[in-house]
Amino acid sequence: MTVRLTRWRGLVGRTVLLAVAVALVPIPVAASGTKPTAPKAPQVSLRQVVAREAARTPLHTPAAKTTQVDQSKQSTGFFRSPVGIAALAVMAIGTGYAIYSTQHDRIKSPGTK
Amino acid sequence: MKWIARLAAVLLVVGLGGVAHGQTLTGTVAGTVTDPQGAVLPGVTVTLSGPQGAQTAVTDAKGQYRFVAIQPGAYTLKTDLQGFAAQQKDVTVALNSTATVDVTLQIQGLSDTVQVTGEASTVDVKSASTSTTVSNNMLQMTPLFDSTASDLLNAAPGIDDGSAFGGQGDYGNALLLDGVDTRDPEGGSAWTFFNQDLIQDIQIGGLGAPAEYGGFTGAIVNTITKSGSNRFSGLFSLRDTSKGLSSNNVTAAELAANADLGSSAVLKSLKDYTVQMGGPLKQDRAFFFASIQRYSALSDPTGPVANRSEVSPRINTKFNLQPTATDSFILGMQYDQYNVNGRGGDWASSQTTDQQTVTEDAPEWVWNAQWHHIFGSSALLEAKLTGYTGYYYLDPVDPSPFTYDGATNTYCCGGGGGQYYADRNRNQVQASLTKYADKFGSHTFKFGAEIERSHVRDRAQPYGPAGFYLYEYGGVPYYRVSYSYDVQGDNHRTSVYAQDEWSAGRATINAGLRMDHIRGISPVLKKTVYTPHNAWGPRIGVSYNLTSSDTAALKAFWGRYYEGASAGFFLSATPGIGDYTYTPVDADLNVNGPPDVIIPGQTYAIDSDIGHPYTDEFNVSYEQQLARGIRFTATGIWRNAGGFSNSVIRDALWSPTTLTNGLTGQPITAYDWVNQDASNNSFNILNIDGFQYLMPDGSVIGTIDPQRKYKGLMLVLTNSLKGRVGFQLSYVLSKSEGNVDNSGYYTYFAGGSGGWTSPNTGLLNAIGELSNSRRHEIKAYVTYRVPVIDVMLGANYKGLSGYPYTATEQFPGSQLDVGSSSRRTIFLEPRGTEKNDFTNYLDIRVEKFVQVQGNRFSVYADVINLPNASGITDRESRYPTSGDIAFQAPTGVQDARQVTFGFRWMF
Repeated sequence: MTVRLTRWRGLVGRTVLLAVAVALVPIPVAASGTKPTAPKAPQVSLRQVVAREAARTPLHTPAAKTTQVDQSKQSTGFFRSPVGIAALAVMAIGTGYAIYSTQHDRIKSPGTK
Repeated sequence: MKWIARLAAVLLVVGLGGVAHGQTLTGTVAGTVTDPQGAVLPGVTVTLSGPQGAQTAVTDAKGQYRFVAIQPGAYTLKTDLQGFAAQQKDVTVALNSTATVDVTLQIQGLSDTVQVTGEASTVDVKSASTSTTVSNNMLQMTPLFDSTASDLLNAAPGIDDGSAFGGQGDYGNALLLDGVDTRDPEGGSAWTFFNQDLIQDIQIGGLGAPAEYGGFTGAIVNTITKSGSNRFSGLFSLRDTSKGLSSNNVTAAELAANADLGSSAVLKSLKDYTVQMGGPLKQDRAFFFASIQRYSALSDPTGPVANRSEVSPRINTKFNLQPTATDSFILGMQYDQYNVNGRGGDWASSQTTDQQTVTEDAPEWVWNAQWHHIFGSSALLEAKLTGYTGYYYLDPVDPSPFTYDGATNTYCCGGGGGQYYADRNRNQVQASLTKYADKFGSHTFKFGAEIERSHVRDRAQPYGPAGFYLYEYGGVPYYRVSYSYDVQGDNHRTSVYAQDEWSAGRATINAGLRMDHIRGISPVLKKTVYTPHNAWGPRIGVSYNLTSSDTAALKAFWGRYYEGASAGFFLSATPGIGDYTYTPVDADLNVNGPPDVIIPGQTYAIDSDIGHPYTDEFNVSYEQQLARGIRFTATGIWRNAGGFSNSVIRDALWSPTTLTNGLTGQPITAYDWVNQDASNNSFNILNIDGFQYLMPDGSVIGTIDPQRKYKGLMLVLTNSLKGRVGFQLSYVLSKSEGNVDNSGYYTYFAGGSGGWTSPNTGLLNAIGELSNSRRHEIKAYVTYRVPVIDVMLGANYKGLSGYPYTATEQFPGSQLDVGSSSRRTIFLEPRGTEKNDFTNYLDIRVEKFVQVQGNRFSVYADVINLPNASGITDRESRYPTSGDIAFQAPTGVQDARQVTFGFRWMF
C-alpha cells in the first residue's frame, strides 16, 4: 500500500533545513556501492555540523503534536450527530440505572451502623 | 541539575503526602535510522501517531530517536528526510517495554510516496524480562470472561488458580490496576473487582522483573484500563443468560461415589451491561473516559444452597491531560459495590443450605493520579498517588449457633457462623526518574522511591453467649465453642530502587538493586511489632540481540524477589485476639463445667531477628519473531523460595506415640504435646528454618527445613490476534516441590493451629509435590474470522494435569493429644502422592457482526465447556471418610456447559 504524501505543514523550520542538509550526505554514500557492516560515525564536516544541530533538537517533542494531521480526530459536533445522541441516551440510561442500583440493591450490614 | 532539584521537591511532596507504590504504565519506542549503506542519519524527522495525537522526534548525531512515556497501544511510526522515501511502520507499544524500530531509508524515487514496511518486531531485545499479554483483542474475541477480572491472570501460561510459576496461589502476586496495588494488605489476595470491559491490556510478568517491581514472589499482573482519545468511541455491551441455558454434567458414577455432588451449578440469571464512552475534551490535550457497569447474577451453586446472588454496580472515570508539551496527567477513579446474598458461611459447602449462608456488604473507592514530566531530551519523571479504601462485612442469615460433629465431620442445625467484618485502606505514592545517557554504550538508568501506608482491621464474634457452635463427637455433645477477635495492623513500607539498562553493541545488561524497608505496626499499641531485616533484592540480567533486524534475542536473568508488606505476617502479634474456649455441656446441653481455654487469646511474640520471605529466580529464555508477526518464546525457569516465617510453640515438648496408618496398616510415630498448660503461652513468630521440635528429655525430634522449589519449561507461540487468524498457544512443563505449600493461608502466614506448630504437621511426610503443581499445562486461544459472512469464531482450550493431593487422617484426641484438631490431621503418605485427573476445558464463541458506517454491531454466543465434559477436579483427601464422603471420592467436577448470549455496539 502506498499513501500519497501531501502534507509538509507545520514542521519546525530548522528540522526541514537539517533534513535537506543531511540528505546531501548519504546520497553520495549510497552511490559508492560499498556496504558498511555497521553504522558508521559521521565522516564529513557537514555531517558533524548537522549532528550538532540535531543534538540540540530535543529527542522527543510532544509540542509538535498539534502540527500533525490525525485522521482519527472528529469534530466537536459529535454529540449533535445521530450516533452521538444515541450514545448519550444509552449512557444516560445505563448510568441512571447503575446509580439507582447502588441504592436499591445495596446490602447494608448492621456493622456499618 | 535543575531536574535533580525538581525531583527532590517531588519526592518531598509525595513523601509528605504519606504513601506510595506503582510501576511504569507506559512503554518506549526507540531506534536508529540509517541509509541504505548502513550509515546513521541524523536529523531525520520521526513521527509517532497514536490515539491521542502524534509526536515528533529528530534523530541525533548517532541517528537515534526515542519516544518515552507512551501509552500502550497501536501506533504508526513514520520517518521523513528530504531525498529519501518516507517510511511507515506499525508499532505495538507494550507495557514497560521498549519497541526497537530501526529504519533503513531508501533513496527517493520519482513520486512522493510513503513506503509501508509492515510491523515492527515485538521482541524487546534489550529487556531481560519475559512476559505475556492478555490483550484487549483476546478479551474481546474469545470466550474469556471472569466476573472478578482479577482471575484473568490464569489465562497466561504458567499460572493456574493464581499460582504463578510455583508461587503462592492467593497471596504471591502483585495485582496492579492502573498502578494501584489492589491487593488485600493483610494477605495479598485480590481485593478490588473490576469490569472486564475496562481492560486495555494485562501484562503478566514476573520473570526477569527489573528492580522497580517488588512485593511479589509469583507474578506481576499489570492491568491497564482504557483511555479516551482524539476520536469519540463507545462500547455498549449486554450479556444475558437464563436457567434453561445451563447443563448438568455430573455423571451417575460420580454421583454414586459422592451423592453430595448433587447436580451442577446452574446460572439461573445473568444480566450484565456496560456502557462506556471516551473522547476528547480538547483535541490533543485532554481526554475523558467513563464506564458504567451493572453486573447481576443469580445462581444455584453445587450443593444444597439454592440461591446465590450478586449485584455489582461499578463506575469508572478516567481523564488523560496533556496541558503542556512536557507534562501529562492521568486521573482515575472507581466506585463499586459487591452485594452478595447466599455466600457460604462456616459450614462445609457440601452441607450448607440457604439457612447457613451469609450476606456480604462490600463497597470500595479506588483512586489513581499520575504525572509524567519530560526533562528536555533525556529524562523522564513519573509520580503516582494511588490507593483504595473499602470493607467487606459478612452477616449470617441465621445468627443461631450450629452443631459440628468431629467424628463424622458433619454440620447440623443453626446458622452459618457469626459476624465477620474486614476493613481495608491502602495508600501509596511513588516517584521515579528515568535518565537516558550515552556513555560507554547507551544507558537507561532509573531510580525511584515508593512509600506505602496500609491499614487492616478484622473483627469476628458470635452473636451470643452460646458461642459459634456446639461440638459433638459421635452424636454426643461435648463443648460450646466460642472465640472472638478484633485485630488491627498497619503496613509501613519504604522502597528504593535503582536499575540500568546498559546496551553496548548487541548486548544489553540489565542490572538493578531494590531495597524494601517494611514495618508492621499495631495501631492499638502504637508501636512497631514486626521489624524484618531490610529486604535487598539484587537483579542481574543480560539480553543479546541475535539479529540486526531485532527479531531474536537470547536472555538470562538472576534475581531475588521479596514478598509484599502483608499484615498476615504479624497480625497475630497485635492485641485483640480473644480466648478460644470450650465450655463443657451435658447431653441436655446444660453447662457442666468452667470454660476451658484451648488456645489462649495471647499476643504472639515476634523474633526481633527475622527476615522477610523471598524467592530467588534464575531463568533463560529465547525469543524469536517469526514470519507475519508471530513470536515464539522458550523459557526455562528455576525458583527457590526461602526466608519463610510462621508461628511455632517455642516451649512445647513432644512425646512420641504410636498410631496406625489407616491407609497402609503400618505403625506411624506421632507426637503428643505433653506440656500444654506450661507452654500454651509461648507462641512465637519467627523464621522457621532451623527450629527444632524437642522431647521432654531435650532430645531433638526434628528440625524444620522449609522449602519451596519450582522448575519449569514454558513454550509460547503467539501472534497479535489482529488478523484473520489469531492465536496464543502455550505449553508448560513444571513441578513445584517442598514442604511450604503454595495453597492455604496458614501455610504462609502466622497464626494457624496446624502448619508448623507441631511436629505432626511440620515433619511427617511433609516434603513432596505441592498443591499447586501442574506437571503439564496446555493453553490455546484461537480466533478465526470467516470471510464473506463476517463471523468471528473464538475458542479457548486448556488441558491441565490434576492437582496433587495427600491422604490425611484426623486422629481423635484420645489417641493424639495436641490441643487442636488441625494438629491431629496427619499426612499418611508423602505430600502430593495422589493426583487428580488430567482435565480438558473447551469454550467457544461465535460472533456475527455488521459494520454500519463507523458503528459495529454484533451478537455473540459463548459456550463454556462445549462438550459438557465432567472431569473430576478434586477428590476427598481425608481417610477413611469425611462425613459420608469416602477417601478419593470426587468432591468437585468441571463447571457444566453454559451458554451466554451477548450484544455489543461499538463505535
